[in-house]
Amino acid sequence: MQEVTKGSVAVVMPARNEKDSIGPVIEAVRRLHPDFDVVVIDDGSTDATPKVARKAGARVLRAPINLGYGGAVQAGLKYAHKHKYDLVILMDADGQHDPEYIGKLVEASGDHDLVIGSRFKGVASYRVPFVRRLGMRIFSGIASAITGQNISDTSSGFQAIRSNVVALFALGAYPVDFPDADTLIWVARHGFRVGEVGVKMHPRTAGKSMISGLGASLKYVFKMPLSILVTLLRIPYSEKREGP
Amino acid sequence: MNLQVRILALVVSLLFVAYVVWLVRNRKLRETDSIVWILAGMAIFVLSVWVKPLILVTDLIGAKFPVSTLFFSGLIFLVFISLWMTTRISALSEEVKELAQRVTLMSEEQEKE
Repeated sequence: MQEVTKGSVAVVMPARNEKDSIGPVIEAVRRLHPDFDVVVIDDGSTDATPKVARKAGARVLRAPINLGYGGAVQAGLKYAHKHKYDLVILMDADGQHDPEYIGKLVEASGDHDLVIGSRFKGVASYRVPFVRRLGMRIFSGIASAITGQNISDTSSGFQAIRSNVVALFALGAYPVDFPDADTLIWVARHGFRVGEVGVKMHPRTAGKSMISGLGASLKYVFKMPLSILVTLLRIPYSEKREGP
Repeated sequence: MNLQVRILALVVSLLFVAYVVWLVRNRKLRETDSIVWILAGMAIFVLSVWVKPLILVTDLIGAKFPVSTLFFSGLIFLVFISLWMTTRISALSEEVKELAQRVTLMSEEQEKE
């Protein structure tokens, strides 16, 4: 294996059954950033996703059972932590996240520990169903109020995460389903700086979303307030003098 | 409480404890996990033979019939035990996730062989 050098960046991509879209995404990332490592967490694909990903030049880690989105992301972050990457770019394998914006995220990570690629900041592009959009508005408002930073897109899975926050997620807890406002509040409570840049998001070209259906939307609406509440009740690691 | 109910409770509690012991014998249930159920079965057994404590509690909480006291305490017991079971499931899920992620990280080296 190639030794990881200082200033290294890992592009972590959780994927399940994305054989039709993952190839071009990885190729685009590698064309734009040849020095970045692409790490695909294959979360129980039954199609050729791992093969396609490996052929496109990614490192592929395969989960033995379904980890779920958050579980797969955390596995990727644990990998990045173990191999001492300085920065993680988290992005989807389905083509919704445009690799052109990775550069913007990297640039913003210069003075932020976690940078969100927001689909509501400037670069308008993408329509979200009403209920979900309403939920996003509310939780973004809460997250902004609590963190004191202007956050418009809490549920974006297009992020740049610096090693200090990677360590927080890798050694501590990370939501198993869908990290959202709760996670950002947790990060901010540890004194890390959360930032945001506008990105363009495309509608998915093929395959099926890992989050879909009315059940998922309802779960989101009920789970998130509770999750935010308990996040506020928890004691950050530094104050407890243990953990990461 | 009339005799029929007491005999029924006696028989049911004995069968229940026997079933729990059978489960432990066949390794379907761990010894430590069986304790709470054996205690519950024994409590029903004792109360069907010796009704006095039940009547005492019934008067104390102002219930009309000892059976109501039994139902009420049984319900409370079940609610708490299912909540406790759910915490066990959460803990196990967390452990399974942790293990699966370790296996995931090891999968890269394996593919290289």
